Order: sequence, then structure tokens, then C-alpha cells
Amino acid sequence: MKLSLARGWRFARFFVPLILFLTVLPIAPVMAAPAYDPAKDLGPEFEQVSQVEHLSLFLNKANSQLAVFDDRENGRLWRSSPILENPEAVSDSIKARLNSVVIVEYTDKVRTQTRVADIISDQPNMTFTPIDGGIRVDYLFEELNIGFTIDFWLEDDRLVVAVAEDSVRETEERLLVTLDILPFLGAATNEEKGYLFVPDGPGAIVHFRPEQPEYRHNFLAEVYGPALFSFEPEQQQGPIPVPVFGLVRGNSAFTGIVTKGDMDVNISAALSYTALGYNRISGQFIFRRKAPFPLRRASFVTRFEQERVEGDRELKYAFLRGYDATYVGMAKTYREYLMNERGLQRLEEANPFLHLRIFMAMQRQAFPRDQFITMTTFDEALDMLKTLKDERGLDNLRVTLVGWSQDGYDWSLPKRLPPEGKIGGDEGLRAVSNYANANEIPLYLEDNYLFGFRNIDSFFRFNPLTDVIRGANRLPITTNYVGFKRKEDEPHTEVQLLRPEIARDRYAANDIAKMKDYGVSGVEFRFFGKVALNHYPILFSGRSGFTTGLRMLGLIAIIGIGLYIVLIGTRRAGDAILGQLIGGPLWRPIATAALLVVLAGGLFIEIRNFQQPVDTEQGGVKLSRQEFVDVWKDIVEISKEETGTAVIQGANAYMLDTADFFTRVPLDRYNYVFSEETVPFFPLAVHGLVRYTGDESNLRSDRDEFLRAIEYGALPTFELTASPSVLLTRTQYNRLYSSRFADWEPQIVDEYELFIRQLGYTVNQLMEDHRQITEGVYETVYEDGTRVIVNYNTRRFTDGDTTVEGQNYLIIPPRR
Amino acid sequence: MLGNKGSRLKAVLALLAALWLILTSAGTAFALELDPKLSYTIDPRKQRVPSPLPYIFEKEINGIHLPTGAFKEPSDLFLDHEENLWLADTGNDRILKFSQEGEYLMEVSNLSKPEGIYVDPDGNIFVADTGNNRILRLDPEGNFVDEFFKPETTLIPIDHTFAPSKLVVDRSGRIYTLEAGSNLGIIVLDGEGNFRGFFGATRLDFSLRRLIVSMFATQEQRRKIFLPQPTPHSNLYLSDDGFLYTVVATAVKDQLQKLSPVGVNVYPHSTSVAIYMRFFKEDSLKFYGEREGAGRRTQFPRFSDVNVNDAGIITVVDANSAKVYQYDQDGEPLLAFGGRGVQQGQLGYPTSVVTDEAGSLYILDAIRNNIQVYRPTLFARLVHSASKFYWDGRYDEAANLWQQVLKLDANMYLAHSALGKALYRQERYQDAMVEYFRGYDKTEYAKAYSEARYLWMRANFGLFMLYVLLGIGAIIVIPRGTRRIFELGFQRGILKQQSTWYKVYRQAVGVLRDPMETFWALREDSTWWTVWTMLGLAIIVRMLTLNTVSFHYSSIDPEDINFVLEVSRILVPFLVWVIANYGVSAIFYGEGSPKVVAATTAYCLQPYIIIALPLALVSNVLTGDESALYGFANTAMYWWMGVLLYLQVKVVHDFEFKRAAGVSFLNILGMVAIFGISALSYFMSSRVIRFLWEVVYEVVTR
Repeated sequence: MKLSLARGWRFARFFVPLILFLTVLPIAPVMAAPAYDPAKDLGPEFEQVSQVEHLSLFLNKANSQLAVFDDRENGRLWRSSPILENPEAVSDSIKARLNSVVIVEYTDKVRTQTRVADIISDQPNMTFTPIDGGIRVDYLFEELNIGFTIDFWLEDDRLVVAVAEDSVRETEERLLVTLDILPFLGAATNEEKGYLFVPDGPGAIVHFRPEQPEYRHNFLAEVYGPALFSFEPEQQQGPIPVPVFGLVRGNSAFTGIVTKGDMDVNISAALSYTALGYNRISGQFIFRRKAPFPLRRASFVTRFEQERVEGDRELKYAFLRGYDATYVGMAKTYREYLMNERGLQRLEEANPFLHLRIFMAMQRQAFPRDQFITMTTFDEALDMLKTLKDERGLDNLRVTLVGWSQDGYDWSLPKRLPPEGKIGGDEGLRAVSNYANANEIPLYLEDNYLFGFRNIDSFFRFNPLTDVIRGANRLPITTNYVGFKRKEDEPHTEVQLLRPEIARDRYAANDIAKMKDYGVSGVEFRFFGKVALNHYPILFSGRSGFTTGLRMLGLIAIIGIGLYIVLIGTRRAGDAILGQLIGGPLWRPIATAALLVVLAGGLFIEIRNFQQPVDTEQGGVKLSRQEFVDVWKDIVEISKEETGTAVIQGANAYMLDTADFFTRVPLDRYNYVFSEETVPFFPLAVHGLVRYTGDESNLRSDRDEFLRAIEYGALPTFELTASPSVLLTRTQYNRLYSSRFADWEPQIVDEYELFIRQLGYTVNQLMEDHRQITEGVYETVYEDGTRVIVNYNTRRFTDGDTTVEGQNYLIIPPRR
Repeated sequence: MLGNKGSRLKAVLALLAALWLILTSAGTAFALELDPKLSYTIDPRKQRVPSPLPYIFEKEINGIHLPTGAFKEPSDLFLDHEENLWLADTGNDRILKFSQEGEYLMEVSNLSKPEGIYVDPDGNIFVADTGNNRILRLDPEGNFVDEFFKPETTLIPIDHTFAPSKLVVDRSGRIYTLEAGSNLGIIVLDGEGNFRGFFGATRLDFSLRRLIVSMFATQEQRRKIFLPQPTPHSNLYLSDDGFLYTVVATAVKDQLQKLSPVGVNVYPHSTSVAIYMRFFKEDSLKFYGEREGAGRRTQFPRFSDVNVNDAGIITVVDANSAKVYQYDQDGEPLLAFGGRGVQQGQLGYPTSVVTDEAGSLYILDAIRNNIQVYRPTLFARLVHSASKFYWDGRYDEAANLWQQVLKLDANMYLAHSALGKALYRQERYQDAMVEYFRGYDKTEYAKAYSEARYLWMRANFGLFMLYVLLGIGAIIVIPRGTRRIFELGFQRGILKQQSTWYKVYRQAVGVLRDPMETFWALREDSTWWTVWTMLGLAIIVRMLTLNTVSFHYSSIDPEDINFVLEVSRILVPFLVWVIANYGVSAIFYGEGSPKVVAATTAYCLQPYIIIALPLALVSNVLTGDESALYGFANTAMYWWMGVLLYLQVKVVHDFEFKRAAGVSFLNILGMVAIFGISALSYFMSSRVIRFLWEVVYEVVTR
């Protein structure tokens, strides 16, 4: 039965409703009859506000509770608050919480602690205004002096919830921290079958069960990763690439998509074992984030930021029935959203390829000169391509060069051009790009528009005061070089992060145009799909660059004169020892020269500051995450204009509409412990719209990761070098622990055969279905009916005439 | 206008702070590319090097969907000979038995906070029933057989409450048990519960205070005075060959021990010399696990359990960092993974670990209240079997496997040295050297080098003799050549006889030939140029030396060289000596002026300038066996400098023999005093400076 269901989409499409009908049939009498009238169930306090297609919206004006009725398949009523089966057993405060459509978290002047307000216990003033398709509710918490307006309306079979920026009112005494709207929409008990969906990595679900371990009781994670920073790398979040969440209850489900303000939202979920007693999930809008504010040097206190995160906020709920009421249905809803509202388009041609990252060179700290380590020269890279293309006949390749820039990987950032001479320089890169262009191999250069190194060299390239990203505490955000601490107490090489405007105006605009001259087809942007930060300008506000510069000059002069007085003055005083020590014949000229150098340096800095385009302020304007990302998107646009394409590393949803190729997309199953089961939500949503690769094949730990790439429809990728990888062992790039081309060539050919020749035709197809056949065996179905079965178990899997060997896969082409 | 002034002050302070922000790095650190799959090996320099994941989280056993219900603060896990899992579910006062797949099989109840469980090959169950202060013996069905309370012996104080926490039983039926947080160490009981002694006590460090206390104090006094106690073991594991592996939770050295049947730690451990050396060299102690953080915030590992698999791989869990470390039979770190976190593959608070025959790890987590099952990856399996072959002395088979390991992970330094060993046995010494270099194995590198050098000499004896002759020639030619250069300079009129350069050169040669005479002459005719030249040369030589000394003789790696530090290593002693010398001898009516003292001291650096670089060059052709030669030359160099300094004191200040010796000694004391005072004033002033900066910082940032 199971297998017949999966024997092909066309086949399944016929059977699924039938089977569903058959399964639903026995319980149908328990559910409402076809003529189910939600008004009866809701009682007189609810009144209908609007109706659009299948949905109708009800409102209780006493407490602004909502209910949405979905009339498909016998109807399903979604309430904003659950009906308590046993109200006496629940305390008043919890009852109040459960019955609130909005939960407000706020803080006071000190900004360290938060308190929670809700509709029932704090009784805000509510004003109702009808709007097109729904209702506008204006909430005013009088005691707190906090107010905001929420619009609820139905649109295209969706419930839309929106908070306009200008409707938020607050005073300095009480500051908004988060706003959780519809926190208990569809909240379910454990008696029902169902699960929560959280966008943890590729996606994950947690089932409703009679019992779950404690670490699976709560979930709170910021979409797109943290906007501020954490001191403990261990405390960092896993990737949350999409602003989507969902809840499945029996044969119906809803999914929430954050459509505005997705940069500042938490996914907040809880299972029923907490005091509230319900399985619930919601998107929690962030108005203020916590940040460590300095008390003294190296001593911080964590407080909420003073300034509010601004912007409109909007959340769309879609309701799913029947066969669609799964994570697959949610992914399809999200895909629809991406296509209709975000402008993503289907890939026209499959055009599969094997992605090759070639690591060229880097420097290693050494004495007296840093050691330059060549891993691959341009000539060797060319040879690799020729070997693969001409000898092995691998036609569909895309190549990214890494560490090609001046002084090798990252070393001289923000300076990158010209390509490093020791690996072949201009000529070398041109040779590679000529070959690539002649053979229609897209050639990308990996580039990093975030880092700026703090060394003598870069001091004259960017101003470490004004050109760097600062956190809410106005201190520059720094990062250790690669993120892998060699020792816990190691003083790491410090990197500052460049403000995106500086990266765009001063570097990207010039550099990408030059890269185009080398004949490359685009830039692969590191971090762009992974990191989104806030920027707060340095506190020089109100002062022009001129005064700042003058003051600096003055300061330098003061220091210089001070030194002069101390040193020369002592001599005049005739101090016997010191006087003789520094009384050499060249002393005076040296001292004068030093003073002149100091003054000239000051002047130089001042002149340089003058030449810089001064934004509104010296340290740039405040950037929200959205604004930050928008500037980065400009950089991507520059690349697309100049070279035609751009590649993004990481795949946070805000970048999805900028490119059609994403690398290092999080596909592995290292989820939060909250997540019980990993599901391919992300692949289901974007397969066929964009191309993506996961982790490098040569750095895999296990065959599982290979199988996962097949299951999740990822393209293969390798990061290779011509020289043995052992040369990188004592460098900052030792993450590349196995990369020699000669070692991996056979594997490349094998994976090419599988991913390109056998599976390549699915690249532009939408993923139609995904399911677990049995434990450790999963099936992915594509649009044309192609089925890919992956068996993670060591045992062989057999079902009818389908046999999948242990730790293996099976591709079943569609029946013609 | 007052307000304006205030704001101006604030602005200046802001600028000062801003400048300071440039100078120091006061940013808030932020990890950008974090990999939750963090796994690495620790190289001989104690640095982490990334590696592929050795273990992959497979499943968890949490009892929640089983009749047992959830666990509560479980503290011990045991895998019996039939590969069943036994769990001491301490918080629920019971022992649980599961199959390997996690099926519930059996329960032992009526216990009080049991912390330890052991099942012998016959299936007899031993429970450390901690709360009931007894050891319980049950038959395989869980029926009561016997119980042992506090053993009767005078060696355990009467007021001590016996609370057994962990236990193992050896083949002859002896029970080895230990108590959590107690200092008694491992108590041995026989099959009837009679006391049989203590086992493998952790030795106390030597301490002068304790020595004095124990020498002079009476019995009564000794009891009253706080005496440091031996550090307690926290868990044990009995291997099939009769060795007892234990971990010590709170120590800062030797936390992992392998005790032979007579109770001797056969593992690499800190010798008493090393314990003294730790004042000079932090790494002299044998330390397992990793320190995290620095300074006062240093966090030490707290090993909670140890397990040894069939391949002899030792797995240790560290409750503090929530990491899992694996060591080979030599106690060398192989792999590390885990870490505290909320993602799969990270741990909460590991308290126990066992391995099954297939190599899977079962880790008991007291925060998550579950058993997490980790499956070894191909990488871990290869490392383990390679390590086993290597330990069994089957180097060539091991080499084959190590080669496969290296294909997966070129960072695996142990694989490199093991491969080096195999190559060495195949007499491919040059290749072995390369591998030893990559494995950072200096001793073995030197050995391979000695063989390689021997082969080379045999093949190229003529060339060797040529080099020797060239070396001798250089020794003869260089001084003469220098003189010749000056002579030519004079002839062509480029240099003048009276030029400072020539004078310095002449004086330098003079100090080497006849120091007394030259120092005497220098009293009248010294120049500051001497100081600049000699210091400059010494610094240049130092830098060149650091880069020319061979791998097996070097003490510092090129990437760790700090220019400022290396320069100050020459400048600071020089300066301090000059000041001390001048100051001390002035008290004793010495006759030297600062200039003369500085100039003559600078000439005393000559032995270093002349010898260090050639010695470093020669170290490139010396084998490990010839380190005595190297050491001798090095020592001779310093002795020569010492003698020169003594003569300098004597001649420059015109002291007689005895007084010169006394003054030299006082000089050294003076140097110590100067160092002490500068350290003191540094610490005091740095406090003040830091305080001032903090005020500025607060004004600006608040």
C-alpha cells in the first residue's frame, strides 16, 4: 500500500485523495458535519469580520481573540487561544496568558530585566476599526504607556497580521522588547497527533508525544542567526535560514511566514510540558536586543539596547488541509510565496554542474617574514581544469578560486587586487579565465567584503575608528580570523569588520570592475548569505570630520611636544646618566625627524579623512539588519552588472532573490537538541528555483553526508589544492584537512557521474514530495515523478521489487 | 560656558579613549564561521587542529517512552559482557538494564542514590549503593546475595562515613571501590568485604611547608594544621588484562592513570623534577585534557569517566567542557569532539562513557538525562585500528592504515610520526625526516637525520671533507679578510686610520685577544658607537640564529617568534647589567664612567656574536646524539662571556681580584633588585594607569 502510494506522482495524485478519504472516513462523524457552522461553536461573543474564499475571520471584541474558519474538507476552526478543557486546574495568570492574542515583553529604564504584559491581566484599551478584509485593533496599555496597532485581515486565503512602524508608542519609562502576536494560534495538546515545524538548518520537526525530554520543551532562536554577538562561541545558534514556522494538527496545519520585519524576529516554540500546557509556535517580533554594555574595560553588563529596532512587521498565515498538511505542504506554501511575492523564478534549464573550489595560497605567520604558502598556482588550476574537462570529459563544471588575492587568502584585506604574483599574477588568472571562457566553464572569484585586517598596511586603507562595524555598545565588533581557536587562551589575529557602505563604495565598486577585466564570470561572496549585523555609528555625533581630524592632530602634537620636553628637557637638566646615554651625535636629528614623522603622519591622516566621502556622520549612519543587507545586495548587484552573475555563500532567505547559485547551504543534521527529526524544508522550498551545494565532498566525515546530499538534491562541491594539504596544517586555514587534487580526482569523476549524469536532469525541477518510508529510509520525489530513495541504515532495505542496499541510494526514473 | 568646557573635556577624553581603542583592541569578539561539529586533534605543541568528525550522533536512550520513565541525574553506565547496558539512575534510586538497542530489560530497586554499577563476566551484579553506605552484591536475576558495609580497619578514620561511589571487581573477586570527593583513594575489599588495603594512591606534591610542618609539629598540631590532601580519583575502569585505568577529577596533572596490578601508574606522568620545573616551564607537567580560558578564569578539565576499547583506545569524558577525548596507549591525544551546547553532537554534562564492540560510544548525560549513542565514522575507525597495530609493534601494517588516515585528514600529526617510523624501518630516512617534521617529533627526527647523515657521508665522503676544509678555511679567512678589507680601505683612502669604525674593530679584536689590556685601554678611549654596533650585531645574530638553528635543536617555532621579545632578551639584560655595574661599583669607588662601562660591557657580547650563528649553522649537521657537543659549545660561549664580564668589572674599575669577584656578585644581586623593583613599579603603575583609563572609558562610553 505504502509503496503503491509512492510509485510515481501521477499515480499518487490519483490515489492520495482516495486513501485520505478512506482514512478520514471513519473519523468523519466525529468531526463536524459538512454544514458545520463555526458561529455555533464560537458562541455569541465572536462576530464574523470578513470572509475571503475559503477563510472567514471572527473576532471577540471583549478580548480581541480571533478565530479563522477554513471551510475546506469539512471545515477546520483555528482559534487564537485554546479552549481549556479543565479551566479550574489552571492558575489565573496562565489562563490570562493563554487567552491573550498578544504578549508584550517590556523593560524599564535600567534595561536589564523584562516583564510580560498580556491582554487579560493588563486590560489594555482596545479600539476596533474595520479595514478591507479584516479589522484593525489599536491596543493601548495605559499603565505602561505602551501602544501599538495590529491589523488582522484575510487576503488570498491567508491571514495577515501586521504592525505598522508608526503605530508603536512608548515612553522612556517602559520600553518594548518583544511582541508575540497570536502566540497560541492553533495550540494543541498531546492528545492530538501532530508536530511543530522549526526552520532549524534545513528544517526540523518535533512530534507531540505524551512525554519529551526536558531539553525539548522550549525553543527560541533568532531568524538568520544572531544580529548581535555572543562571547561564548559555544552558545551560538545554529543557522535559521528561513523565517517560517508551522504547526500540524491531525489533518490540518498552518504555517506562518514572516513577510516584513523578518530580520528581527525570533521563532518561539514550546511543547506542552511547560507551565502553559500547550504545544505552540509563533514568530516573536524583536524591538530591542540584548547587548553587553561596557562598565569598565573588559567588564560588561548585559542590557537591552536603547534604540528601538524600527520597521513594519508583517506575518502571513497559510492554512493547509489534508495531504498538504505536512512540512511538505508548508515548504510548497513558502515556495509559492517566494515565487509570487519575492520574484524567484523557476530555473529554465537543468544545467547541472559540479562545483570546484580551488584553494590557491595563503600566508602563515612566521619570522622574520611571513611565510607564503602556495597550494595551487594558476597554472596548476588550469591543469586541473584541463584534466577534468579534456581527459575525463567532465563538461559541466563551475569553478571558484579561493585565496587568489594579493598576499593570498584574506591576508591584505580590504586590498585584494591584483591577483597574487607568486601564484601567477595577472597573466596566470587571465590564462585560467581564457580557458574557462573558451570552454564555457563559469569561473568565480571568492571574495570577502566584510573583513579588514588591523595591521600597519591596512591602517592606511581604512580607518579603524570610523570605517568599522560597531555593536549597540558602540565598540567595534571583531572576529578571530577563521573561527577556529588553536588554543583556548590564544590571542587571535584580530579582524575588524568593514561597514557595508565602505565595502561597497570604496572597494566593491572599483574592484569588481577590475575583476571583470580578468575575464571572470562573477564573484562568490563569502558571508553574504550567512551574516547580517546591525551597525551603530561611533559616538562622534554632531562633529564634522574636520574638527575630529583637527583634534586628532592636536592630540598627536601634544604627545609629540610632550615627548620632546621630557627627553630634551632632561638633557638640559644635565642628568648625568640619561644625558650621556642619549647624547650621541645623531640624537638631535633623529629626535627631530621622529617628531616630523609624527606630525606628518597626523597631517596625512587628517588629509585622508578629508578625502573620504563623509556620510551624514563620520562613522556612517545607523544600519538595521535590513539596511545592512540591502547595502550588501547592492554589492551583489554590482557584480551582476559588471560580470553577469554572483554566487552567495550561505542561503539566508533575504539573499534568495539575488542569485541563482548558493554554496555552503546548511544541509547537515546538526540541529538543536530541540529538533527531533530533520526534514528537508529548505530543499523542498527552493529546489528548482535556485541551485545549491552543501559542504565540500572532500571534507565529509561520513557516507551519511554523501547520502544526504543526494536526498536533499544538492549539487556536489569540492575544495581542492594541487599541493598536499599537509602544508596547511599549521596555518589558519587548516580546516582544509584533505584537499589534494590527485587524491580526490577519482571521487570527482564518480560524483560527477552520479550527480550530473544521473541526477542532473532534476536540477530545475521542483521537489514534489518527501517522506520517510521507514526508519533511516527516505524518499524524495521530483516533479516529473523521479524518485530518489536513500537508505542510511547499514541493513539492506526491501519493499516489493524495490531494494536499496545499506548506506546506499536508488534512483527510480519516471515511467514513460 | 561652563557646560562647553565640560563637553570639551569630554571630547578630549573621548579622543584619548578613541586613540586608546586603536592602540589596544577593545572590540567585542564574535565568532563568524562556527562549526557545531567541532572536532580536532591536539598536536604536540598543544594546539588544536581541525579533523573530520570521529563520531556521529546516532540516537539517544532516554527512558521516556519506556516503562522506566525518564532518568534523573544518572551517574554511571556499564556495558556487560553480553553487551547490555547497565545504568545507575541515581536520582530515581534504581539500577536499570537495557539492551544495546535501548530495550528495557530489568530494574533493581530498593536502593538509595546508587552511583556505581559493575557486572562481572558471570553476571553477578555489584552496586555501589551510595546512600545506604554499602556495596550490594546481587545474582544475575537481581536477587540479594550479600552486602558490604564500611570495612573494619584502623586506616579509615572512625568518624568517616563510607559512601562507595564507583566500583570494579577483578577476576579474583576483589572489589576496588572509591568514594566521590573523598581522599581515601581506591579501597580494595576481598570477596567477603574485608579490607585489603588502598590502591594506587595519588602522590602528594612536594611542599616545603608540609615538610617543615611534618618535621616539627606534634601529632596533635599536625591534625590541626591544614594539610593538603591527595587528590581523589573520580572513576575507574578495569581492562581485561588486569590494568586499572582511573581518572582524577580535580587535579591539574596526571588526571589519567593506568595502574598496574601492583598499583603503579605506568602512564606518562609528571616526575618530581617536572613538578619543580613547572615554575620555569609551564608545560613540564603531564597534563591531560585542555585548559580553557586564561589567567584567573582558567577552567581545568574535570574528568568524570574513562573507558578503554578493544583497540586500547582510551576514551575520557570531561564534565567541565563536556568534551570527549581519546588517547592512545602511549597517552598521546588522538581525537577530541563534543563540547557543551544545545545542538546534536554536543553534550550537556557527561558523567559516564562506555564503548561497545562495534566501537560506538554510549555517553551518559546528567543534564539531558539520557544516554547518547555515537557511531564511529570511517575516520575514527581507521585511527583506532592504525593505533592498535602501531601499539602492537606492527608498524608496516599500521603505516598502511595511517596513510589512509592521512588521506582523510592531513592534520593528523600522530599519523605523520607513525608513518615516519615505518619509513625509518624501511631505511628511507629522508622521507622519514619529512614525516617526523610534519608530526613535530623532534627526537625521532634527529634519529632519522643521524641515519640519513651517515648514508650521505658514506656516499659523499669527498664532498664532506671539502666542506670541512671549507669550514676551516672560513675560520682562517674571515678574520684575515676583515683585516684585509680595512687595509684596502686605508690604501684607497675610503677609510681613515682614525675612523670610529676602525677603532671599534680594533678594540673588539683586542678584547678577544687580550681582554685585560684592552679593557684598560678602553678606560681612556671608549665610544658610544661600540654600544650601538655591538648591540646591533647581537640582535642581528639573534634573529639569524633563530632562523638557522635546525628543527631538532630549535626551541621556538618561526611563527611564535616575537621580534620585540627577542630584542628585549638582549637589550634588557644588557641595560640592567650596565646600570647595576655602574651603580654598584660607584659605591665601591669604582673608576668607570657610564660610557666606559657600557662600551666594555658591549664588547663582552662578542662571544655570542661570534659563536651563536656558526653554532646554529652547525646544529643543522648535528644529530641528536651529538647534543652534548652542541650544549658544550653553548655553555662555553656563556662561560666566556662570564669571564669577560668579570674581567671587565675588575679592570674598568681597577679592583683587585677578590673585590672584583665580590662586586660581580653584587652586580648580579643588583640586577635581581632592578628587575624586582621594575616589576613592582610596573604592577603598581599599571594599576594606576588602568584605573585612569577605566575612568576615561567610563566617561566616554556611558
